[in-house]
Amino acid sequence: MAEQPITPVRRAGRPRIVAAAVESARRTATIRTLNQVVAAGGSALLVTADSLERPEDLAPEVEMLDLSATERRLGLNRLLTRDPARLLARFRGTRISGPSPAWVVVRRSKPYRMIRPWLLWRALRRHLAEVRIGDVDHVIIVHQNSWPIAWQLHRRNPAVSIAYEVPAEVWERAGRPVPPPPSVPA
Amino acid sequence: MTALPHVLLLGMQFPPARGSGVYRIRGWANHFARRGFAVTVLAADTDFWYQRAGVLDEELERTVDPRVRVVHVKVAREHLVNRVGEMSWAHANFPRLWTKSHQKFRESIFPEVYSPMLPQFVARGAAIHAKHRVDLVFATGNPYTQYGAAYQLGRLLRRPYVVDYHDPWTLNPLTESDVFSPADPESVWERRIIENAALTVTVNDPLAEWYRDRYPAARDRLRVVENGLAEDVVGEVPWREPEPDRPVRFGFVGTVRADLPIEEYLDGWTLARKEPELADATMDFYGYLGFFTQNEAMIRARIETGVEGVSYRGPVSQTRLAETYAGLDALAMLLPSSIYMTAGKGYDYMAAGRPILGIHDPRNHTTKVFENYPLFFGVPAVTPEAIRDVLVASARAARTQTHEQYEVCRAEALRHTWDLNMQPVSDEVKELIRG
Repeated sequence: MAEQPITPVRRAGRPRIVAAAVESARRTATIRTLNQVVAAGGSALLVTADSLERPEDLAPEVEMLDLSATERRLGLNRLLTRDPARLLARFRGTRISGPSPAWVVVRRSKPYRMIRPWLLWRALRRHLAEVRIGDVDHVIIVHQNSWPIAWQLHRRNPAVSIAYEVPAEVWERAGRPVPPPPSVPA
Repeated sequence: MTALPHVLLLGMQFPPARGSGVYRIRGWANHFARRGFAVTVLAADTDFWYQRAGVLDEELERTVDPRVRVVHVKVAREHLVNRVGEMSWAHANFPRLWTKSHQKFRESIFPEVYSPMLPQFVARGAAIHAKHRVDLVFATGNPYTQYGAAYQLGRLLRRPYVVDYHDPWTLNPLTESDVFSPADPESVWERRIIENAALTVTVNDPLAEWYRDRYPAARDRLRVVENGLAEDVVGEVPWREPEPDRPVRFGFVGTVRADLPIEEYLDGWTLARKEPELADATMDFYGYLGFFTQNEAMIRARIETGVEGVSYRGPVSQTRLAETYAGLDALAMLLPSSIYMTAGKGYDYMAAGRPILGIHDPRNHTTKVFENYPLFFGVPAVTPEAIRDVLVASARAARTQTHEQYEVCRAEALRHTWDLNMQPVSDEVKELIRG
């Protein structure tokens, strides 16, 4: 069934910003921006896909969603990550660590990298409750690979704007003063 | 159906598109129509220009001769979309796959970003020819893809074609150096296009010499058609007696390109404002900010830096140039400094009959265009001090200008109209058609 665009229901005065940071590019700047969003009274969600721990410098008010576990459970990925030899080893009580070799090969392959941004959107679709599309005002993109998530969120909520930073209009729409650009540590 | 010689003009940037190139394309269309040709223009659809530039110049469109037939082609544009929300599903969801495959597709057609337009223009040109025999194909660029389309149409229809380089392609006029190596597809295509063209036209002598040196096989078929004044559109700017007690009003009228020496000019302006001749003087910038919406804020910020007396007044259609000039005492012509560049706006400035400041390196070909204009104040070098000096000199000239000087300036402008400049080439086009 085709998904219908939703009618945005926005909490007055509290912009919600989603950063589609599925690549490590511009991570430090993105974290700085999201910290500033929550400090200025907004709400923020950092979407990643690199299985890393929550960054220490990310403000506690910023929500974080890592898609890598969901990515491994998508369609054929589930088979690749469930290596029979590893299952057998686990059954025998042998300690196994790291991802399955097949998954590592596929994950690094050029064809997979070409479609991965879209697969990550498919993964995010399973977490729409956490995204709260109806509340989202703006999506920060960090790389070409952020485009599918940004485009799909915009399609579902046409009020969502997309840019590499948080434009002043987002704050103006929410009736809040525009915060100064995030300061860069010397 | 008509017996008039039929010129198919490939002019993607045709009014209501805006930008510095549209005046020359309109100039060719109107000139051919006035000289008894049937003219069909292949242009991009107006939505394309609205999406790219954010604005259309409908007043300029009304200055197109009604005998000119304009056929709008819905040109491929998905690869030019840079707002994620406006992209197609495939482009946004598989960005690397889409971008790489589209790039390969484009490169297979023609080495320019607008290349998907080439088969569209060829198909539409052939369809027009099927209904109304085309006698000559005339392409004016950029986009340079139109030259490729002219070459293909020339072969397909077995008709001569003319290419008009109002912007050079393989030469960077700013650095005055080659953009591509001889083996690059751009160089190969340009050689093929020029060597097979019936005529190649360019805008000034230095450029024509460059082409003659580069393509000796086409040396005899190189022509110069300078840009010109559309005297019927710009109209007459009325003479007004100088008012020595009023602050002098300077103005720039034209597209404010990112490569203009804005900072140098404003530094010179700040120095000049300390001189008594420029007490309370004003400097108004009129015109579009760059060619595409994404550059506007950056260019505007470079003008509006809080320098006293300086304002940005927004764009002006060419149809309103006379009234804009009438509110100014002297015109500042900021240009990039290059031997290969001639300012199209310079011909309109002349029509104002006012002092004109040439803010560019004297090597710029515009200096030669103004050699007989009595109230031209060119800088010897683009430095704040030199700019200050010409501002002061032109302010004095504006306050002491006589009606006779105004008449001489106007007469000089009328020696540079589009029709006068284009006539020798349109005569040759007639001969080419006659065979």
